[in-house]
Amino acid sequence: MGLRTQGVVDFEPGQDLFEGPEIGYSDYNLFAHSLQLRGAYLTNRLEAAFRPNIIRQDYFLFSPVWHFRRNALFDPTLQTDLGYWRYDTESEIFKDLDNSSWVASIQVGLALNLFQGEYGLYYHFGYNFITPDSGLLFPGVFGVGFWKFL
Amino acid sequence: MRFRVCLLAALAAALWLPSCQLVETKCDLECQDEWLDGIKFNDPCLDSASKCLVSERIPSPSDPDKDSLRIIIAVHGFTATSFEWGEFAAFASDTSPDYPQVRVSRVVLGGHGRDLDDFRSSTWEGWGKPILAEYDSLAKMGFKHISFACSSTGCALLMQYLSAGDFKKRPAPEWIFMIDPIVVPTAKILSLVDALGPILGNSPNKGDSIENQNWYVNRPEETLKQLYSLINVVKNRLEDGFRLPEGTQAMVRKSKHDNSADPVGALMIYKGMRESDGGHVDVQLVDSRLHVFTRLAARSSAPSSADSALQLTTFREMAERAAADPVRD
Repeated sequence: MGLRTQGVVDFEPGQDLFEGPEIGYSDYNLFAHSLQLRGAYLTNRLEAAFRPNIIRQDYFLFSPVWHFRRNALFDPTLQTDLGYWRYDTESEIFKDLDNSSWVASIQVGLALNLFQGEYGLYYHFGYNFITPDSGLLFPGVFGVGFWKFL
Repeated sequence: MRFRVCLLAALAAALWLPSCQLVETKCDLECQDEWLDGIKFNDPCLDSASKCLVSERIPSPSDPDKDSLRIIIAVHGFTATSFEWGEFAAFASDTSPDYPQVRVSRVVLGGHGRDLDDFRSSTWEGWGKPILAEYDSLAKMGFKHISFACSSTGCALLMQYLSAGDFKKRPAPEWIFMIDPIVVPTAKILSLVDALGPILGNSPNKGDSIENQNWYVNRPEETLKQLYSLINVVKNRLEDGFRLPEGTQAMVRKSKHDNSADPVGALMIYKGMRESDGGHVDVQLVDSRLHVFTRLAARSSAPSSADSALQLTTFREMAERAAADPVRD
């Protein structure tokens, strides 16, 4: 169980960030915990409560993650994000806009397995392959997160 | 033996690929003579004799002219020239019987309309300077009714000025007419130009011969970085929110399908750029597949009757609103 934040890599000041809960599952019988399956709901609705001018967006992501050194402190990872993204058009004026898209990205990262893996931190970045002409999905993507094993 | 053959093939491929790029670049440089990129063609409005600017066309306005004339400063987009607003200038020409008080002043952005070296070394801050220079000249001459019409990056520059408070110490413009403003690029790869610029390199965009003489064909990496930097500033300002000066109104028209400016930018403008009383500005999505749908001249494919009707409707709307001056009259 954890918290995850994701954003766009564009090397410019100002950043759209999406936060939300993430749940993960791994098993000894599933490649000795090397494969982890995660699911996350990420949104900027909390930020929108304070910054009403930003466009409200939601991500629903399924992320298989491969841990290369599951039992070590420094644990390189490779993950894909597969899912769905949407935003609120808010007004009838914009009802014709295509406000959703599938998401498919591949990311490399590093996890820190703390306290024998009971807690952890991770960072990952990579490339999003689906960037529709109309929408706010960009190719560069990064994420940071925290988890606690239940 | 097989390994050596493979090695030679790999070496040949490695040598061949860059040589192709050199040939392509060489061709571009040769072709530039017939393009705006070269030294042969410049934007004719850069010549003061062209009188594209109202401040040059009417250097000593009479008192009735100062009160009655409605000046619309037209601002073109990235890589373009004053040609982009030529059709509107013709529509509202000085001799137009329908809108006798409307005058169009076409500015040329800094770094634009000259040659590729000027363009490559320009910055977005420099692109915008002629806009405020013409505005200040007209205000100093005593014109009381000044508006803006802009397209694409021209609108991003204006929104940057509006959000930065550049009109706080100036008389407020009456109207901002925005045609296909860019806030989010359609080609999302532009967001990585700072990192991948050397890989992305130049992205030439050849059109027909008239387009090539009025738009830069080459889009050097440096200019793409400037463009993305500008629209990122504008996007952040829209997300923070800003209001137009008191007395200023805006009309935004955005193509639903646009290969340069993502229509989602219209939603960002709707949410982030408010009238002085906090109300929403007038935004409409229009049924067009053209970027800067008000420019139909020198398109590679003939415009449809719907495109022509949309252009005329939009021009009339702009001229009527500028002429009516509903806020102050």
